[in-house]
Amino acid sequence: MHDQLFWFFSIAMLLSGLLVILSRNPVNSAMFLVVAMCFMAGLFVLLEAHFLAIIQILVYAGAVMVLFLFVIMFLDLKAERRRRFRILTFGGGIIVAAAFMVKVHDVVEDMPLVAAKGVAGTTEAVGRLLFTRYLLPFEVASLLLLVAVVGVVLLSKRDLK
Amino acid sequence: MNLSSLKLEMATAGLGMLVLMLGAFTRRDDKRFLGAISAIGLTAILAWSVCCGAVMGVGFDGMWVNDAMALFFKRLFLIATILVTVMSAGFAGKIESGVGEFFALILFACTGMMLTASVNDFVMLFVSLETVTITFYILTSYLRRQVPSLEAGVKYLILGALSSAFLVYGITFIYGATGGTSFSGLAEFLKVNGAGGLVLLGVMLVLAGLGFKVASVPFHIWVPDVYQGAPTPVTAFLAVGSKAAGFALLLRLLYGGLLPMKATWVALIAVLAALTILYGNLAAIPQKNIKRLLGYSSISHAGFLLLGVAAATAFGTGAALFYLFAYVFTNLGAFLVIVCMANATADDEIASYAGLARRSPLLAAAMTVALVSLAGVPPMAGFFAKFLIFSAVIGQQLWWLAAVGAVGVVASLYYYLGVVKAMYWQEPRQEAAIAVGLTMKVALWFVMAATLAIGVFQGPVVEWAFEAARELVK
Amino acid sequence: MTDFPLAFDAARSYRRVNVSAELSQYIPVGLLILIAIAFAAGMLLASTALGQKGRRPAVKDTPYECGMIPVGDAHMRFPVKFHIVATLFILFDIEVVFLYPWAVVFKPLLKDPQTGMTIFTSMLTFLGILFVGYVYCWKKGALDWAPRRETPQPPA
Repeated sequence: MHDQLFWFFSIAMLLSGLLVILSRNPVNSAMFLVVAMCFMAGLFVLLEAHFLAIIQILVYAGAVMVLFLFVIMFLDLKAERRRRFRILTFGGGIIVAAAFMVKVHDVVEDMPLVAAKGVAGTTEAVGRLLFTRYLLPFEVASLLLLVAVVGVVLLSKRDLK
Repeated sequence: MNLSSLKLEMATAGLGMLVLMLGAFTRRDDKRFLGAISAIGLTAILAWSVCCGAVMGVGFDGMWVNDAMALFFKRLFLIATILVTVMSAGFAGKIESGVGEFFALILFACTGMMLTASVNDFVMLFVSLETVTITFYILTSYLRRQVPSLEAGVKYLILGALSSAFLVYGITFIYGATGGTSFSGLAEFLKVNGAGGLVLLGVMLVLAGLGFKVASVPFHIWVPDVYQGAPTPVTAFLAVGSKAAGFALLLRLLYGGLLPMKATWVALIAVLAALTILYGNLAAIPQKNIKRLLGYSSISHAGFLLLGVAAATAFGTGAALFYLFAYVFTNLGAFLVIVCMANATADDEIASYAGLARRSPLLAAAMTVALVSLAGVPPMAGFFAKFLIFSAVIGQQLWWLAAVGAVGVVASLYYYLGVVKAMYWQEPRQEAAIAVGLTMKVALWFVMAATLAIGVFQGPVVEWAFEAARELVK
Repeated sequence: MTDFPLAFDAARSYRRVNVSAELSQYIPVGLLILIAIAFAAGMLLASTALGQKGRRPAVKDTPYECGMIPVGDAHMRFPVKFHIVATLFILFDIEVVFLYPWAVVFKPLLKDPQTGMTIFTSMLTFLGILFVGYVYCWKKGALDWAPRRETPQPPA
């Protein structure tokens, strides 16, 4: 069951990821991104990272994608025009991506995995780690969020005093 | 939980929040006094770090290290931020809205940079680096009604996000292989298992992400456009602060986590350094815009700094630290002149600098000192820095690297002195004298004096840099 | 299934409890998704099966068959203030995300002598720093929907 679910979620995620970049309509792209994120949450569930799975749905598929859709609507986009097909750019990209994938595959093939020691993905486990070992990055994250708040107001408030 | 080794960062962040709140609540229209508050506050923090505020030690499960090197970088960041704040006060007339926040964001970026100096864990590395980078996304696109600034912001955002993605992807591989995120855990893993497979892939991806931050070839594509389009003080801050933060992280990672695979990274960094020096210097030659020119020049300086890292000794690292110190004063001197010039001539073309010596002898002199020091001509700070770097490289028998460096130095003389020639021996387009405000005058004199003084009386700074390097390299 | 060992091994190594027991928690979620899909598909099928397919004038394809005739494009541009609100929502949403695990571990960590009050003060600092951001947006009027009306000044 586990294995079948893994294949289902990963293949579905990759397919919807492909559709994100292949759709000509930006709204469709955004919707496929939502779908891809939901399947990713499924993968997190299989890894027993329950907290992360819920956050993936709540924050990414929910809040962040709503923002994406808003931005698409601000932009007054018509369907994307076909770009000129540049053989050099396209070929170069394919070669780099293929080389990278081959390398990753080689690495994954002959790597005995050392499992992370007893990490459970429940909310409690995440909380314990976050508020003991990773306390400092957590506090710095608040500074990061503060900077982001200031940035949003600065860059998009219409008549800033 | 011991917070005393975090005092400097907390003070800087607190100062940033104070400036932000003062800016929001004040009724005054001219917000330049906030620049004075930040500069004075930063100077106080710097003085505090010298007298008693610096507490050494390791904290937070070993993810936070406050040693001599961390302190060296923190003081460097504080000095750079003070100068950038003064520069921003001179630039404030061009900022349409949000002058108060500009100073606050600079302070937050400074906090992030100070955090990077003490990083000893991948999660902390990511969070502190993102604090710096996200602040710079905002600062780069600060002139939001001007297309060049927005374009620079968007380019920086997209390429910066890509590099962060590489970084995170690499961190996940390292976590998967070692089962932890700490640098020391990585070092132990490498000692036992050697570098290969998953962990090597992860390390390469992380190094690519850091290569982007220090603007080394082949991760330099963003530099010229972003440097040209960003507000000038932000360009200056990117060139000295963001780059130095990248180097702080690089040194921490190389000596904290990757020491067992030293042979691998020495070869890698040597190649990157050679490419960076050649590309930066050769591409700078045909430039017509002074900010773009300094963008390419900053790529080449990243190359020279990497030379010091590639020497991989305490001497080489100390040389790189000294180089950074000299580079901060020198480069900020050049950018101070650019700010003054942009206020007077409204563009950054090198052609507008023609005959500057007649219009403002002070600006021409300051620019000359800065450029000559960047080129590495004695007796300026830049000369002694290059001298140290080259002796470190030759000390390691890396002759080919020294040769590449020499080619870079010769090429750089051409384009730096081209600007000097324009300032002194070409006819000015206009004759009108350029007025320079008092603060800017003081800052210009200070930077000129510092560039000369570090070059002539190198002793204390060299000792300080080498002490920091010795503690890191051991 | 041996040609892709990484993810399975990773998944197995994380496993502490019996998988079926772990995953069975999600059976209701899966059922809900299935019902939703079946309901949507059923509606579409039903309307095709029961609707009169042959008679389909242009007016049947309009959003509202009776009432106003729609004018213009549905893809109109939104005012940019939606963007500020949406982004600020996400930022404070992330803040709340951190509150969840905190609330779960608060009591046990408070009793733990090693952490003690840190669990309280750390969240207080986090919220305090974000509160500065909140005050900032409030003061800058980023949360106002309509432009703020200036209070009329009494004539001097």
